[in-house]
Amino acid sequence: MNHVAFLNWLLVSLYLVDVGILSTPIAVARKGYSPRLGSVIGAGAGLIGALAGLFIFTPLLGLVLQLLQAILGVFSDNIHFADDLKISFSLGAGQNILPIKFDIEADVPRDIAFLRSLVVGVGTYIGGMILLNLLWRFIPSQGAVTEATALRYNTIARQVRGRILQAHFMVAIVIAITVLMALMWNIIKGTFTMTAVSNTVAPESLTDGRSLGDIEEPELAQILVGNISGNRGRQLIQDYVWGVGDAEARDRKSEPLVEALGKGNWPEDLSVYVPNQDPSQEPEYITYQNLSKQPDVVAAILSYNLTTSDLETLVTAEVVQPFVVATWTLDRTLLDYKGIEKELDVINNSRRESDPDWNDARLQFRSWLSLNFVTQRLNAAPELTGMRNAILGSLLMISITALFAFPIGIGAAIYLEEYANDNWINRIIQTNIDNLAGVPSIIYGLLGLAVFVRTMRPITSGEVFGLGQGNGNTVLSAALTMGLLILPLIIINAQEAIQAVQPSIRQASFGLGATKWQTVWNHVLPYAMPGILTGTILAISRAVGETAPLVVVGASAFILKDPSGPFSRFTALPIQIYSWTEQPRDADKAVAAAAIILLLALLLTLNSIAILLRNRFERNLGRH
Amino acid sequence: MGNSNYALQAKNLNIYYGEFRAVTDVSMVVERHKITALIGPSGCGKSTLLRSFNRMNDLVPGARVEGELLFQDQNLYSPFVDAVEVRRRIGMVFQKPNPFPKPIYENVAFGPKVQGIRKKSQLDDIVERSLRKAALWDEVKDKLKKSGLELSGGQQQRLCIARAIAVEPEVLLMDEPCSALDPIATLRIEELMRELQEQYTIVIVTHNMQQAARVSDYTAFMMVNDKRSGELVEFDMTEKIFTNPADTRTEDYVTGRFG
Repeated sequence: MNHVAFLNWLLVSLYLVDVGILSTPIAVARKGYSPRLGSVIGAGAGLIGALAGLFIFTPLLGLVLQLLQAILGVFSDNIHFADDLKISFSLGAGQNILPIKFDIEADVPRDIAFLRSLVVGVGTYIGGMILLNLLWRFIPSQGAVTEATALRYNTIARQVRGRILQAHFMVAIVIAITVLMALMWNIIKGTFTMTAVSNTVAPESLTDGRSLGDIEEPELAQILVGNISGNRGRQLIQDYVWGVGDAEARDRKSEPLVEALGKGNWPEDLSVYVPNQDPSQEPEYITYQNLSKQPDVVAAILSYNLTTSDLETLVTAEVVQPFVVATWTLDRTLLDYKGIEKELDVINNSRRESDPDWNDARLQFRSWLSLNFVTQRLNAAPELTGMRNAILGSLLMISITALFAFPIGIGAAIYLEEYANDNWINRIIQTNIDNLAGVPSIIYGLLGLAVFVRTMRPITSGEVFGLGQGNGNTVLSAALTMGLLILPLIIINAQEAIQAVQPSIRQASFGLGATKWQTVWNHVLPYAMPGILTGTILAISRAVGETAPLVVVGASAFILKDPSGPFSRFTALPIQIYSWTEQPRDADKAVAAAAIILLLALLLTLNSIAILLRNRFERNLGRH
Repeated sequence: MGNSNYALQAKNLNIYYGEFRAVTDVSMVVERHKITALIGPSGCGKSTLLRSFNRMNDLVPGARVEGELLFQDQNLYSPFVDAVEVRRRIGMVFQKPNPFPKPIYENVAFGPKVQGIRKKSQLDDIVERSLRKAALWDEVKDKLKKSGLELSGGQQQRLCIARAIAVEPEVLLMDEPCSALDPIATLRIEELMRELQEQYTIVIVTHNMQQAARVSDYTAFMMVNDKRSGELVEFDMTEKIFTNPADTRTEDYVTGRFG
């Protein structure tokens, strides 16, 4: 029996059991039996009927169809629909244990498999229904029962039915929640993983076998400076001691460094001049400019200003440079640690063969979702990447989208509900809005590409304002596209909210001599606002998660700068999720999973803000 | 006629909803500082007639009025009259209490506000005066910031009356104002109408003949004719309508033989 046929049988028999449970209690209650027992008997009868249908009526149906084929064969030679419904009753090992040969062999064409499963379904149904009807009809009557007993049985039968129907809804909820939980678990197990980390440079080779933790500050600083370039060393001073931006550092590059850093940051025993100079000349100060040629000075300043653990972190990041070789999901980490260790051995062995300098990877638990992941900018390396520019891009885009779509959407809804006459133009507009809500988002993306990115390029790139880089793939283009996408949703929701404002309120306002606009502004709109906001929440949530239009209007997959305004190029969280899942390595998938959690958190935050707003509005209306 | 004692004068008023003539040829007068009651069986067009008195029917798509309705010698249905202005002069109280879901203060102050009164002290005055006139001030003076919906049904209806008189209308139209209220609240409203009568002209639609007999000075009895259109059967002093009606149909109705 093939899978399709079996599934078919399973569904039909489930249905039969259900019918048995639901209808038998009432049938038996009428005959004077306890309805509770009836539901059990009904379930059993449904199941037995389903089996009987499979083993008796399915082969019979096959026979009938073959007979039909034989009769029709008199008129035409080309009728073969029942050829594959041969019946076999073999029950031997490895043989078909079911009456019709149902195999999932590759050479069974689809239409035949379909016909077979259809025959199974119909046969099972016939069998089950016959048995159940026999049960309901021919159950012997208990004879006359008292009025009270009959009433009691009937009541119980109805209660049993009600409870079973309730259970159906419970099952639906449980299935829905289970699916959602499975989805969440899938994301979470990819975010918190066991990782195998290897080092680009083995720390032992830097320290003659001693552990990094045992080394004092000056030596750590020497190791650090000795293994990085002079410029990098200068940069570390700028970042960790001086603490100024690149522009200021450039402006003050010729200033004596001891003054720039301030006396407190300069070791007292360190010379402020460039050493070994010609005594005949004026002594030259150490400046930011010539710092890159003074590794000893860099080491001395770093060791004076940074703690041991800071230095250790720097050595790890700058010199040792650990990277993730492989990741294992949370469930494997918890359940199969031995297996992970074995896989790690395999990885290390194979790498060692091809690369004699390979540093063995070690297991390390890692949460890919971390503070750094939120605050750092994108990086090509999954170990180091953050999502700051993507988060900012999404937020900026959604703010502009809301600013664009919210007032226009409400305006359109007010027009359609309060001002538009019932004529054909307005009916066409209304129909179009209703249909636009269902247009696939990629179509909006194409529209946005043609209209905002290309045609309106001078505006969307910021050129007419003297801003931007002349490129139309900006936050503004994407935000306007998203605005178009959610506009129909906002309009429809706002219309419904406006319709829900009671006509008596409008009448009261008109009766006091208010104009139409005064009525709309003072009454209709405030009372509809909670509903409008709810619709807007949903619409904006949709816009935050949309990916297809962003891809089409050209959001960057990889960009280092934060979005600086509506005319800058940008990336967004859904784009990042999409592009990191496309990457080949395990670690990239983990980044995608963590980004999904970020996106969910962003959505929840936006929604809670909107819900708070809505509750405020509702309170102002005195409904609480 | 043209008598200045009349607040409203309807001359051959016909009201249509699309092609359907809902009210046929009504001619009647509403005397100043009197209470005029419109009675009649359900569907006889008395609410429609009442709503035509301040052009509320304009809000119903397809509604149309023919004939003349004179208010201060001015035909309210002439093309030069602004319906919004009419409604500021002729206020309305509806069948079901319909306070705005806003603070009590805002409910009453809304009318004056849309007429351009912005000064807080002036609004405070109007709110207090209107609530006092509607006999509601003592009950709500400590909770003016509470929503109008938190009041009881009878209080809500009195709030609606206060709201209507806050704009100082000359005529107050009441469309079955007590039908959603209990007997005690109904009594309060009826007493209130008697008090308001001194300053306002009141037209009331009611199903309740005892109420019409109790509170009104004049009564108009309406019925549907054979084309299912409302007609004015008889219009006279209330006492006469209820004791010695000229028309047998009026007598049948007020004595409870049908309707």
